[in-house]
Amino acid sequence: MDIELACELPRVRAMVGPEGPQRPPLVTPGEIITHDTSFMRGHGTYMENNTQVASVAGYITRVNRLITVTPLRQVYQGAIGDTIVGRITKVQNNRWKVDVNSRLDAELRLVNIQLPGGEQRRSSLEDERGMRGLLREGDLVCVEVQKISNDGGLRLAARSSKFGKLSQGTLLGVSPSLIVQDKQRMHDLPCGARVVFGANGYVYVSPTVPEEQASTYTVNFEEVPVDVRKTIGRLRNCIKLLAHHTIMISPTSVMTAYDISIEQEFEIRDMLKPDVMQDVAIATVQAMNE
Amino acid sequence: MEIISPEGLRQDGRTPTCLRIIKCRLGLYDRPNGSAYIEMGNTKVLAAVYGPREVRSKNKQNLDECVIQCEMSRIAACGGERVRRARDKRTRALSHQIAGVFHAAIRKSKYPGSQIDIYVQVLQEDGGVMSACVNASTLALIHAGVELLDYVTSCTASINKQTAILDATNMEGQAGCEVTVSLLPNKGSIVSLDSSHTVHRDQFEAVMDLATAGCQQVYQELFSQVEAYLQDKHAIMSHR
Amino acid sequence: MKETPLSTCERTALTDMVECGLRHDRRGFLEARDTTISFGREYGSCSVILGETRVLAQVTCEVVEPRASRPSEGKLSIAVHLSPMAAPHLEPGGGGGSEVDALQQVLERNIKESRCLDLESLCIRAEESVWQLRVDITVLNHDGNLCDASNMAAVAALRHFHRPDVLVEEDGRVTVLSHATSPPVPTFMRKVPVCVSYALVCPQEDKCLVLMDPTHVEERVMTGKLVAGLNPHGDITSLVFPGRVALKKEQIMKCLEHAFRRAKIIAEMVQQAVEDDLQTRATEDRPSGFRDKLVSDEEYKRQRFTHLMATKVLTLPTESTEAAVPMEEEPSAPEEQDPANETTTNVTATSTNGLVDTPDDLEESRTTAVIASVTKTCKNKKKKVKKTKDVKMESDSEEEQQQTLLTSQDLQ
Repeated sequence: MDIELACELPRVRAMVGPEGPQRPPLVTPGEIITHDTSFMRGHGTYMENNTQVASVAGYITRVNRLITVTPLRQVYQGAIGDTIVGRITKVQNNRWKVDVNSRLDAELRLVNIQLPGGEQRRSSLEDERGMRGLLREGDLVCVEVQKISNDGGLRLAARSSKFGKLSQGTLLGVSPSLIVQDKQRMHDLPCGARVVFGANGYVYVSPTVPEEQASTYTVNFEEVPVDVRKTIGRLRNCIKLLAHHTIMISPTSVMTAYDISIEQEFEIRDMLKPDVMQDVAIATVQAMNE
Repeated sequence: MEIISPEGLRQDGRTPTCLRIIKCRLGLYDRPNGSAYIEMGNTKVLAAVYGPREVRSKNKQNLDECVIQCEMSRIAACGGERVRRARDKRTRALSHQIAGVFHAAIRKSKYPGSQIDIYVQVLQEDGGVMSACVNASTLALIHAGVELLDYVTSCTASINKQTAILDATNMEGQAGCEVTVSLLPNKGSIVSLDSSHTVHRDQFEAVMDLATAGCQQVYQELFSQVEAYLQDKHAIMSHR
Repeated sequence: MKETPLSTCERTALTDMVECGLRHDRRGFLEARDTTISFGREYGSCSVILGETRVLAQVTCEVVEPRASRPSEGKLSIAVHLSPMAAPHLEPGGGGGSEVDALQQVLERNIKESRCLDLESLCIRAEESVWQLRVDITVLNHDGNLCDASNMAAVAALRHFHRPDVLVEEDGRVTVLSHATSPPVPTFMRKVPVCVSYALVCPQEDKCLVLMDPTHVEERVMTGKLVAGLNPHGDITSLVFPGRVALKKEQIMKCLEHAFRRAKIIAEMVQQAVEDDLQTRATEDRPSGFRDKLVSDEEYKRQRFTHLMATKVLTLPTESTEAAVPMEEEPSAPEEQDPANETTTNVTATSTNGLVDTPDDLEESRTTAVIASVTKTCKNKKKKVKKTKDVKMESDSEEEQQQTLLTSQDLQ
């Protein structure tokens, strides 16, 4: 029963995967996990009549007495300390509402950002009035998750200089479960671009910027040279095809895909064609296995 | 024209208690949080799920649990001939019913203040439209990683001259009544029941039982498809 | 207008009551409210009162061309109007909205698709002209369970309806005869479809309690709903259970069994009401219609007052005269107001008194009271402060007169 979309090629199947007992067990909603009531229920499960039942389709993880089921795809759940990329949706009294691919919009308070001028100071009434001057609806920001509030919404902060408004570049949205866990989220790739792998699945590709200009709230409208733009375009398409073939996205995988695409001399615009996507994906997986 | 031939077979060669061939697929598109496609015989339905995400209109926000909305639409040529239709009331009523089904199945308390939107599009209809929509939506919700109590499977049964038949096509369904049952298969509870055209109470129970059995069969199909999908994707994802 | 939200304490109170086995209006779980079916002056006009819910159904007919696919059958169309007349939170326009859609779907399935009405009998000339019956259902007051009430009203109206007789010429022209020339023909309904609604209340996750015939408050608190359309002959015409609750098969079958029992009762009620009305219509010269049956707010208030009057002795006029006397020393403003107040109380006293009596007396007492009050206020406005005493005296005397008037009426 293979249903395919027109001009879609079969997605890449993994070359290598953990075999046998190493593979964590997979469950689907409604399946009973255990009848043992001594286990604590984690996310993705619920208790009914003293049996623990799965509520999502995914794999089970057992940590001591906690059982969780992680689904393969989910909206961004939020973890304290994650670096994420978000888009401003609303400007309110003393905070901004940010769309972060989660189930509720996150909050970025005026007191939690580094005000322009460099030195630390308290935000005054003029600052509140001038909020729109700093960030308006539609702007992209790179921020850090500070806290998760009771209702599940995230509280964001942009306290250091590496966070703040993002200027020229390209945003790309993928599923958060495809982003590899990494302490360092912002990478300056050797090809001449800077990529921010937001933990929430939003990936931002932009030209490399020198350190001092790291984050201000004024947009730098200086023209980006054509070859840098080409690099950014190629990188973006690489990430897109990796996501399409459900390959984990990390700096290494992205660079591998990029190198392969240059090696095989694919045009940037051809890279989104299904057959080209498949070729590059297969080659990437092979190269990464070695 | 007889629906059941003297040998006991229907027009397409099935026995009265046989389900049509089901083909389905999880995860067609990357943009929506979840998507799925299902074919039950000639009925083809596409479903996409967006959510959970922030509610669009504040007055609908419910801070105890999530808001579930469903919008069903049929393409103009779904019935064979091209018919220009606005959103007629039958489609609207079906949208509400599907939303109601998932109100019972989604663990709403896990998503307070959020909204889950289910969009269903019927590409071709040949009987059992609501069942196909429910089944497709279940798959789409599983793909999106939304917490469910259980799968929701749905099936239609009808009566033809004292014989109960399962999963009737349009042609077969014109004669008699049509009972659509939506079920949580692992628990055996019915989440939705819809009966149109007259059916006598003595036969009703038989028809309902047949539809329930059909739902269990549908569950087997959907289950195997989801398992296959998990095996496939999981192997890749663990490859970091 | 937005619906006023139900407060949390009301909501929890209702669900807790249901859990303990009580309903807020002291009915049993499977008990229905008082039902009244009444008919209007015209054939096919029926009003159903189910507790506080009031629905009016009207059947009209027209000669049209039949549908191409069914050339020898008449047409039947059902339209539901749910406007802000019924409840303030409804959208003006009467159509649209999910509630109307659901209601229309149930009614269409129950009445149209069940083929309870013999449409072949509505045919005049095959492929050329047939009768089209149109049922317009207007909800007058929404207090829950519109499905049951609308269904009952539509069915009763259809049974009650008599269509005019027709004369078909050779060349195909159809002449509709008036009621005077030829008696109207009744419609033929094979089986009476009945609709029974159950509200499903879930005070906790697992428990699910079934209430029949929910009121508006109960509908706001309920989690799910089960609407069964059936007829006493054992057919299930429609069954709508749109989810929100997971039920077991046994619960559904139990509901159906109870629904069948109730269906018998309702069908009999409808039959009886239609027959009674047709009989009275045959005997009476001019049918009275709704005039005596529908209770207006005025009538209701009158009935309340009579009840109060019967239990209490009327003391209103004496109280006011005693109050007037000590206020002589006080400044003018309250004094001026006092007579005005007294007059108003006197007027009401007379009017309530007058209600006990015949209408003629009522008119008299009212007019005298009105004249007295008008003259009094005119005099008060013209006169100045120093003449308040005179006013007092005059008002006293007039009140005494009125008092005597009242007492004389009391004695009657």
